[in-house]
Amino acid sequence: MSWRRWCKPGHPAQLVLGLNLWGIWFIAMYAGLSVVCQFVAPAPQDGAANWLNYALFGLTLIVITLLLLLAGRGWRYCQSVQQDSRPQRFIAYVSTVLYLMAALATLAGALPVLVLPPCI
Amino acid sequence: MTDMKKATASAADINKLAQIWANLPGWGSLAAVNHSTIGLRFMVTGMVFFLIGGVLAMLIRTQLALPEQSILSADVYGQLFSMHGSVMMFLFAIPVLEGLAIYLIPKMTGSRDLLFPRLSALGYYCYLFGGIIIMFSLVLGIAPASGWFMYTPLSSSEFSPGPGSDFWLLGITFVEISAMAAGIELTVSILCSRAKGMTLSRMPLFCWYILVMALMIVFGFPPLILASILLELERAAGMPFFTVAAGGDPLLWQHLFWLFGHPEVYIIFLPAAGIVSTLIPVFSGRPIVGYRWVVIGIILTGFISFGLWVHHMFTVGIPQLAQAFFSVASMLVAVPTAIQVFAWLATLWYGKVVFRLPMLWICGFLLIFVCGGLTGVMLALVPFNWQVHDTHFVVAHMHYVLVGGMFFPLIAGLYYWLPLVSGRMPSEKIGRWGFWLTFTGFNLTFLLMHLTGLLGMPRRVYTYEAGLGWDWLNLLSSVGSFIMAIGVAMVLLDLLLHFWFGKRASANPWHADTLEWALDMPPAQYNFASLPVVTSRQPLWHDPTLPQRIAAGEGGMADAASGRRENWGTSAVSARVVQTLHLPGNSWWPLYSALALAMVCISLLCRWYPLALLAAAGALVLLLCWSWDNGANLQPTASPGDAELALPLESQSTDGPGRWGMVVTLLANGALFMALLFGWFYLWTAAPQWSAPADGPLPVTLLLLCGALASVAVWQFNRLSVQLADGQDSHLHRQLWLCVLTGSAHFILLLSLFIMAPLAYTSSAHDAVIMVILLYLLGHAGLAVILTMLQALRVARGYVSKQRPYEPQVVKPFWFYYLSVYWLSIGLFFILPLGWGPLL
Repeated sequence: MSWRRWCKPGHPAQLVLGLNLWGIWFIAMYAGLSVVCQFVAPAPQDGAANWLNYALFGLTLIVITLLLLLAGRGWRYCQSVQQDSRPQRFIAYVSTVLYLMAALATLAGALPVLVLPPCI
Repeated sequence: MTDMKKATASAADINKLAQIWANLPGWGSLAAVNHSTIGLRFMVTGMVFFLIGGVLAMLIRTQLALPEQSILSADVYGQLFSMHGSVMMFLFAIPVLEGLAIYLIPKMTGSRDLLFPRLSALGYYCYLFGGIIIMFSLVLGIAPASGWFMYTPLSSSEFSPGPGSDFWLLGITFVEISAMAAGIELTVSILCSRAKGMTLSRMPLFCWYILVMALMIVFGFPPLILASILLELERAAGMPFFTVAAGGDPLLWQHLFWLFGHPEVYIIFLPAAGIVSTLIPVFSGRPIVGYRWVVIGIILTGFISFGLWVHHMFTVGIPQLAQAFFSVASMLVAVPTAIQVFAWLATLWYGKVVFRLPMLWICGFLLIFVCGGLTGVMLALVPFNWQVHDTHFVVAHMHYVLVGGMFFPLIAGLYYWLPLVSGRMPSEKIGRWGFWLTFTGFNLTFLLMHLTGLLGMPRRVYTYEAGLGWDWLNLLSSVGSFIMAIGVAMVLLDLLLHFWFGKRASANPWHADTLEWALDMPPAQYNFASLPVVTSRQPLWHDPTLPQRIAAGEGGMADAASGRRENWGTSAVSARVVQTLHLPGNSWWPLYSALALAMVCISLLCRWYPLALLAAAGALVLLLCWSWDNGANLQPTASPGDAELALPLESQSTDGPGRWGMVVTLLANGALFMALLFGWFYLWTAAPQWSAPADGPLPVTLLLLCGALASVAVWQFNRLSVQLADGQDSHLHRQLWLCVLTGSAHFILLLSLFIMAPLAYTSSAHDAVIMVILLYLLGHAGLAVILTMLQALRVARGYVSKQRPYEPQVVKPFWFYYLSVYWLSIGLFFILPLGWGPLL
């Protein structure tokens, strides 16, 4: 099976791609935070304004942008497929909402980065 | 391709179908593999374990009813609450829901059976034997007493020197084989054998729930399996994964356990929610509101539930920011649950609700589960969590979620599908008494328990002093628990009595919309006399004559001409018919294999290691014989003139359920590998006394050479399987033996490295982990060689050829998986530490 087919908006892989991205982001945040705090923790007096929090939030913004782009692509595909009974349209619709949900979950998960110091 | 045969199912066809699908008589029924039989066995066994777990709960509540009681000693009490939790979670909740899914999924999807029926039978026997082994510890008075989550170091040999923890670790792991089997089987069956036309967008919601649950089992159980193996290795062989002094960390157990444990809650909840999403539309007389949104909610729940595990560990000392991540994720999981709850409420709002008995239990579920969900959001808040950690508040929350979220819908489902199983209706009167007693008793017990917890009563204490303000609450909780027990007893009595005294059920007694109600009550072993074609989400509402047309043989595969258990294989998304599947029939292999595995388990418990090794070898041989027996057959397939003859058999194609099964199994295997990787990095970065040698334990050059051999073997196997798929088999036999040769050279070199490695595995957690990863790689390398050897033998016997190119396509993913984990392991366990070592 070619990878191109997997990337099409109506392919069932799209149902799990967005949340997988969220999962990878989640692991990167938690693992990254744990490892950095162990070896090169930012100074506690810097509070939330330090390079680690900026990096984590930067990563978050990249992931959110990617998820929103994928959601937009899925939505456009939904608009282009008119027949309501086509399973591909169903998949595209569901995966579009899941991309949006994954973006929201990513944003929500990263909000503490803006207010909390990382390694205390 | 002709869509369907236009034939009438004659009495001869029906008789032939019945003969083909029948279980063997007498003791032969132990060789039964049919999904109806296995599903019912799961459920009945689960209910027996539920009764045992319930009795344990009653003993616990009796002890706690009054302060300073000494009915039970501290040790016995510890055993009882540990076993109560373990039995209810591992031996009741999951198996009984798996049983329900195993029983219902083929009937709902328009199939005659699950696709790996012998795997179902193996799963059942592993569950039964594992359950018996665990219960035996209770009878002997040596049951585990460290809680159902077996926290280290309490469960380690230093603080739990008896065999109690071993019973838990080995028994539960044995039972988990059953869960994994069901997870793999249900995933593949739902994706590969639905009725023609049952696209993903027309699939019953129950199937969506079970699909996500099955995949959650596939990814969620391996961390616990790994944790159990590591702890048992620590207890039995002294490998110090959880011992601080040797570089281990007891918190690793908590991480691995809750990596499984929190998804587990949703593994239990999702099938129950599937029951709710099935019943509410039926009793509201209209389709569910927001089908697509419910699907979105199910998938979201499946994913987000894997990101919450640390909320069970808020008090162990984790940075604030990390706690905040998990706190937010824990609150987020309420969103998909709320989507489902609002869809249910909207369906009830727009429908004309009929309050029959199942609906009563659904209403009870809605009330209790929403309360449990709200206390869940409270517990997601870190400061509140700290305040009530390890108190009865958590116990109350857990029971609101699990009893409300699983038990109430389960009883609703049992009442709903009872007429399908028995052809008789339950008693509304006894049933209503049962409901109200259970509902009242439950709330009296656990609503008050929230207060007991808020007043500071800790969990797991076997008694308490008078005058702390807990006395009256505990007494009322105990009274409530007995009222609940009476209610449950009435329900069970009703379920039992209805087999003799229940009124005969009319066809489709609830006016339901899903395919299982198109069957006879009770259904025949083959389910459908002819395979249905589906054109809507509510097939029976859309086409009320469908049951008659199926019975009249107007669907597919009505004549059973091949004399084998046949079913359609359909495409995963659009449910097009793509192949004919020959499903395996009655077999003793599952029982024999499970007996051999039980022998391994018992031998390990008794520390008879040579016998354990012998039994493990026996189990492997049995499983390989089973795989040989299950493969393609050389007989002609169907009678001439069948429309389905245009369809290839699975063995004549290059893709099919067996290959899907292999891929899903490897996903589970990958989850186990990832959990091991997590453990490695966790110990490396967080264990207080972690130490690693400056230079690696094995020469990297030889490891690279070993990897090169594995790469060549995979290249050889890939080339021959691609050629076979292209219709060339001229040198197939020789190519396979060459691959065996290269794979064996790789295995022998790796084995030599393992034997020569100077590993101090009893005094260093680092070396113990290296030992485990090497054993993991050796096991996989050996199995890959054996499977390839079997393929070579099967080519010689004519089972694999260009006419039957399927089996190497099933083995191929295994080789690729092995190669991937080999190189990943070499990189992450052996090379990365060399470069990163100075940082530490």
